[in-house]
Amino acid sequence: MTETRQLETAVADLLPRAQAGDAAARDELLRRCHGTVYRWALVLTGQADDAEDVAQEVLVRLYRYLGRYSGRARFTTWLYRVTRNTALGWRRQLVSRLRVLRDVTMNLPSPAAPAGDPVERLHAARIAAVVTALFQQLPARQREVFNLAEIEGVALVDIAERLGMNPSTVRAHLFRARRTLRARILAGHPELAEERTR
Amino acid sequence: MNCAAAREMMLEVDLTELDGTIESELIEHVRACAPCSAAVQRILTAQRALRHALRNAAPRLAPDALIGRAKRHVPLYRRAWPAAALAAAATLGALLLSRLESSVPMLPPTPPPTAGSGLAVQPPPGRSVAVFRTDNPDIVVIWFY
Repeated sequence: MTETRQLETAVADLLPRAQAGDAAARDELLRRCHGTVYRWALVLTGQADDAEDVAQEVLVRLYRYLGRYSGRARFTTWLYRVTRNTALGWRRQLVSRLRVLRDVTMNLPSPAAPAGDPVERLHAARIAAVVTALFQQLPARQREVFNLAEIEGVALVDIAERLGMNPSTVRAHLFRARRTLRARILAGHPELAEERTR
Repeated sequence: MNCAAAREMMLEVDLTELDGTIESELIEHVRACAPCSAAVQRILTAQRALRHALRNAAPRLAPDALIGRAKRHVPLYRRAWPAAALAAAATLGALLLSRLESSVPMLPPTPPPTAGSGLAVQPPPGRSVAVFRTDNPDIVVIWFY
């Protein structure tokens, strides 16, 4: 089950209660949304620190404007739009302060390597560092589409709805992202060679 | 399928086709070709690492701290506060005014400016001029009409 579906299921019973004014349900809803919102923000901003700030802002907005969610779109679709708008506003703020491009890495956690083998751990960490850096070099829109399609497993039609795009445009972004990322993986990155036997 | 075509295809196809979940001409070639198999393996390894990193990224701050912050941003009865503040300000203002009216002596009315100051002012073409003196000798009102 994709993360989006999991979240949709996790908040299904909380949402009506939270909207009806149940404070405990609203707090729990925010708690369950936090991680997903942060990961979306991380892809959108490309920076762990900015993602923290965007996630905070989204929770504040969610707290204040939950009543505005009408139920016409799926909750996760609405939440994604709120996150996206917040991240875009954040990016504009950053650009205006000339703070962009301050860092290359996304400060993502390294994938878990087999316990007890430092060489394997180092190898896995190096792969993660290289591939996340390559991922971050993609244009923001391609990064966003790639994350939703390849990492979260969201259907192209649903991505198109979330982003307000034509499905064929989404597909074009996805193909471009795949081509760029995979070509860079294959070109000059021997550290991304086949997985070692565990 | 030759290697060049396989390399071209492996840049675009779905992961399910790359990892052999779905049978295709590409995967048939990859199974028989060691260099292409290594290339596919490299892509799969990298994408798995990326997926793991993105899916396991977690915020440092605990959600409860953020919920507390969200609550501080939105005081309870948020809409009632401005009305209450306005009402209090209006009451205070009315009280102050009533006290001022009873305690401050009325100023004598200012006499209206008198026409004819003795100054010679040339009006712009097509307009007339009137010059008024006021109680203050430093202030003269010049009116073009």
